[in-house]
Amino acid sequence: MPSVNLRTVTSSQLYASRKIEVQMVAQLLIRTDSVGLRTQRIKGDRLRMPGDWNGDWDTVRGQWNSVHDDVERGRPSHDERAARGWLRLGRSTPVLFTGVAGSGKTMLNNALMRPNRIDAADSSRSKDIEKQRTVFGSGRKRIQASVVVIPGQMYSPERGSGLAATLTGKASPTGIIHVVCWGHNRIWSPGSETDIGDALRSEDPSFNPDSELARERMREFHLVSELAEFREICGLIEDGAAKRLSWMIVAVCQCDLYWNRIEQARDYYIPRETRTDNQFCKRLRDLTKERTSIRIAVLPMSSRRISYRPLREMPMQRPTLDDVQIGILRNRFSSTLRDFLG
Amino acid sequence: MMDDTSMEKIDSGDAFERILSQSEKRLDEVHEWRSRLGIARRAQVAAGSVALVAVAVALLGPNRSSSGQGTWIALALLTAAAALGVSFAIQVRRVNPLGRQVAIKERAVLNDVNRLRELFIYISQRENWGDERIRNTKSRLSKFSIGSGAIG
Repeated sequence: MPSVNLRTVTSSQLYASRKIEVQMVAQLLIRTDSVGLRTQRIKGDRLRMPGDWNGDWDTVRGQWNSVHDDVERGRPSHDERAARGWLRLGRSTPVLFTGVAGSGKTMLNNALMRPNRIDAADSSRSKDIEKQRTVFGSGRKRIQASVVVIPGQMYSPERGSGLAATLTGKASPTGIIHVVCWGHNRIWSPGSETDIGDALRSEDPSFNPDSELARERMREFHLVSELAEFREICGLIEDGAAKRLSWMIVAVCQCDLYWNRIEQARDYYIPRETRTDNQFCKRLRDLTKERTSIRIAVLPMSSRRISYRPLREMPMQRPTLDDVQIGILRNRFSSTLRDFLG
Repeated sequence: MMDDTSMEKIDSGDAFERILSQSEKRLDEVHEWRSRLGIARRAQVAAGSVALVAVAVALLGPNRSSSGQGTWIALALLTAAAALGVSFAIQVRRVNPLGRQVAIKERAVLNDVNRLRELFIYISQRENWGDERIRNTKSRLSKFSIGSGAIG
């Protein structure tokens, strides 16, 4: 009879409110296992219960850490290529790019399409949905995808109709690449920069644009919108949209701007069994309860080296990774994407 | 070209509401001007058609005596020239100014609404807006395009 660490099961956050019930179910599962029925075991001797998500957050975290280690070592991974315009006759997998405005969806899509171009041109605000057919991978491993990038401007007809048509239509996506950037969003309109500065000053008259505190305040400002957008997407999925959805990659972009705090970003986006979830992790965890078979990856990514200024009046932030390290990030991201697509 | 974007700060829910209401009024104006533009363009099409018919009549008109035919052709060509003149006048006096006004107004409205979109979540959370107000505001904002051209 397999041994089960009941203490771990009962302390699991997922079942915190149902300790006794879980103990009983765990014992029942041990018995049923001995007569041939299947039970599954995930890291830390925690039993996976019927109706649980198929994955586990330690694996998601491990994948992130592995990318982090590669970048730190500066060890280039094997080359991943994507070519545009090949295999046009084959079956293509629908992939959707979502994310709040200025998070870098178009840049990421461009980076994945042209993996050998670190110096890709700058992008501008997407004014409508962008559709493309792309081939990811190389040689026999090439996989064709129909990519749709949804504009991030919330509460706009372009975004609303784009999401409705893509998530509920015949070409409903099998995968979503959700782009976030830990509050390092680009603000497209100079007028909005002034407004945001004014709004933050009205809240705190001592707001000093040169201070570290002001930069943190700006990051929080963007995180609020990012969370609202992620909630909207998850809400749509939970309401029955994207029925064919089988995977989601959360691309934590522009990480070259905050590589010295990358662990904090990881902890913000990846839930942990032993800690109370923040709002983003809570939403992500809820999604896995709704879609138990979904595969999830949360990866650091940087499409290209780019300097960043949160507001015009604030000091410029410079990228802290070099081109080789960005190449590693891009290769690892492409590799995971190809794995999910295959 | 002068931009008509609102210079008012959006630092509170009241300011947000004011600019959104102004944008809605200006959106109505844009629709009104677009409809006038449509009428002017239809008038141009009508004048152009008259000019074409007049030229066709001059070329294919009834075969009369040489002097009568000359008058007929002259009349037809005069009519065609007048129709083209009317079409040109509509273009200069009506279509061009209205088109410019629509473009300026439209850009200003979209700039303002994009500013509102950036601040909506922040202000609604800071001031603890109720669900009804949030839903209503989302629906109002959704009537404006991001900025690709035709709005509403």
